[in-house]
Amino acid sequence: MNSETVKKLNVPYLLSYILAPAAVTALCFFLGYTFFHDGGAGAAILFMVPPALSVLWWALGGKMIFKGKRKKLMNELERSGFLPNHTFDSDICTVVVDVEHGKIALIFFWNPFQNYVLPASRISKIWKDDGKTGMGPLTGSSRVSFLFTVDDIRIRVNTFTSNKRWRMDSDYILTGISKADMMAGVLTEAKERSV
Amino acid sequence: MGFLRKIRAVFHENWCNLCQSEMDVMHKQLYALPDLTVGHYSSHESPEYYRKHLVPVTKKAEIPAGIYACGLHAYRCPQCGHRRVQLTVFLPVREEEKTEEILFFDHGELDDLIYPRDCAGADLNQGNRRRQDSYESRLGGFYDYE
Repeated sequence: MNSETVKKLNVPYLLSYILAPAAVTALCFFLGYTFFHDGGAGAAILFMVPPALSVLWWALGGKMIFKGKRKKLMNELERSGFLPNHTFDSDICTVVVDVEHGKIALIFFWNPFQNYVLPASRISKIWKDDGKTGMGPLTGSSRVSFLFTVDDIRIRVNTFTSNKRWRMDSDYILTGISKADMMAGVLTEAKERSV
Repeated sequence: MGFLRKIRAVFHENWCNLCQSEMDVMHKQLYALPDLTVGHYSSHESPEYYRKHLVPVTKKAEIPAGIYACGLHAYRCPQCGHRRVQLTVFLPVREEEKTEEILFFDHGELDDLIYPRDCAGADLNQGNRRRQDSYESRLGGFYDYE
């Protein structure tokens, strides 16, 4: 089990994820301008391929890394005797709960090279956020999540997100609320069983 | 008049589908359906499935979050004696209900549930069962209110 403080964000990883493709693209532009000033196949490759690869990297690279690390974490947990009673995959975080032994495992999208296996007793607070805003007929939400604090670090796990606002009685919002309520219950049970 | 009443009967679940009379509620019961959890709903039409997996509860608060529920209404027509069981499958979410489907059984398929002969059935406690859930994201075009 990890005893160190949970870090949701690995700043060097985040910066290199964003800036490295931009730097490579800028370098290729410079080389293309310097050595293929009059155009040609070399210029076309240096000016078109790196930006396209960068966009692909920004769109898919992080998801692929996170997915791979999440799979690795699950395999490690299985080998270590951790019972993954309940796994919840979110866009920015995966929470795995071993209710039997009162343990949780965490891995974050922006810190995928570090995973945390903690006793659930380190959770100090568990709550839900239905994202409800607006009044009267305009009441709605675009995000539902459950939250918990580990060592006073707040961890938000989305159960539903959208770029639109949905009515509070819409199927999407109700499903998101139900998932949040369920996971809050699972975490509470694990915390109660943790020594 | 008879034709109009038949059309109206389509919109009244508690009307007899044979003689279009209003039926009496003979039995009502709320059940938990622990086999179905939020995000993993699948439609079942077989009465055998419900006989096997429904767990009677007295109120919605007894059903753990994220577990589906079923409301059973057993009707009997006072005119022709026809019996019909209505099963509403829904997800209880705080004060709301997300209805998934409404099923009707006209041939006493769920009599074992209504008049149980033994108490062996599904268990509300799911024990060491493993669950895998994920968030849902809905992305649309223009930002509007739906």
